Amino acid sequence: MKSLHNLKYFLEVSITTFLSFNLLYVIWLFFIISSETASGFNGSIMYVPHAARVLTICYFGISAVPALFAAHIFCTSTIGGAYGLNNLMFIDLIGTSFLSTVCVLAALYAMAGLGFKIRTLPFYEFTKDSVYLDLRNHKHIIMVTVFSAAVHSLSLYVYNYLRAISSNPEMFVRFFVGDILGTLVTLFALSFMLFAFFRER
Amino acid sequence: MPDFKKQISTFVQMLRNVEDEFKLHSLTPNEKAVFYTIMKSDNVCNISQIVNESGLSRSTVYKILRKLENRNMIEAFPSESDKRESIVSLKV
Repeated sequence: MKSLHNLKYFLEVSITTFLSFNLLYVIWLFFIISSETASGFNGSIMYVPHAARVLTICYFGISAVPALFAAHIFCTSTIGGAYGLNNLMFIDLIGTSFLSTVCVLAALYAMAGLGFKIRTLPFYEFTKDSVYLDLRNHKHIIMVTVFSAAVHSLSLYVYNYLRAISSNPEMFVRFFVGDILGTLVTLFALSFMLFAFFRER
Repeated sequence: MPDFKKQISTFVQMLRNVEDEFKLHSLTPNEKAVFYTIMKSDNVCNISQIVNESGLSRSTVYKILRKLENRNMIEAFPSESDKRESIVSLKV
């Protein structure tokens, strides 16, 4: 019975994660990338799908990782590939997708090392003195966004440099700013869209 | 044991906090009618006056006044001449 509940939860989380990443990727592709590719693509200045990474890992924890990884590969190879955005070899596609998927996890564990812990993730000790991230507080979510953007941009820059894909430092800056801006824009857009439901409280 | 619905409601709560923090909420047409009625009467009036001028029912006006009071936009206090009647004034 417990395993059935676990499976149901995993499926709910996986479907939500996969669909939300795909939806944000398509929105990004149609509304944002068209204004950026004209000057040559070197990392998006507003990468909206990063919001899906941050929110799903924060709220669902480690259960969201497989679907997020699958969504990343699917979107980059199938949807992005159709628009000429994917010029990576398969091994690099796997590598960058892996780094992009685990960047939020890595950021959360780095933050746990600094004293900020989140209850949706396993593997660290919860003590009375722990400072817990409050998932109802948008400022905490924004802090995770900044940390994860830093981890994401740095890890991808190092990967691209080591694999001789790109050594342009502009890419690092654009990834960092793009992840933060994309997540903030998504949060504000969701608040605006859902405010009609919140009106009757 | 994690609960999917609980996690989603926490997420919605976070979005509501964004809305509150940046004051994204606005007034409904009925709320506006009540608000402007008070404003037109030099920022202070009684409830019967609001009912007459706004054309809304007394219960709707009471509901809206309670909401506006919770949002800290108005304050209500008993009338000195008639204790059964309340006087409403704008705070903003």
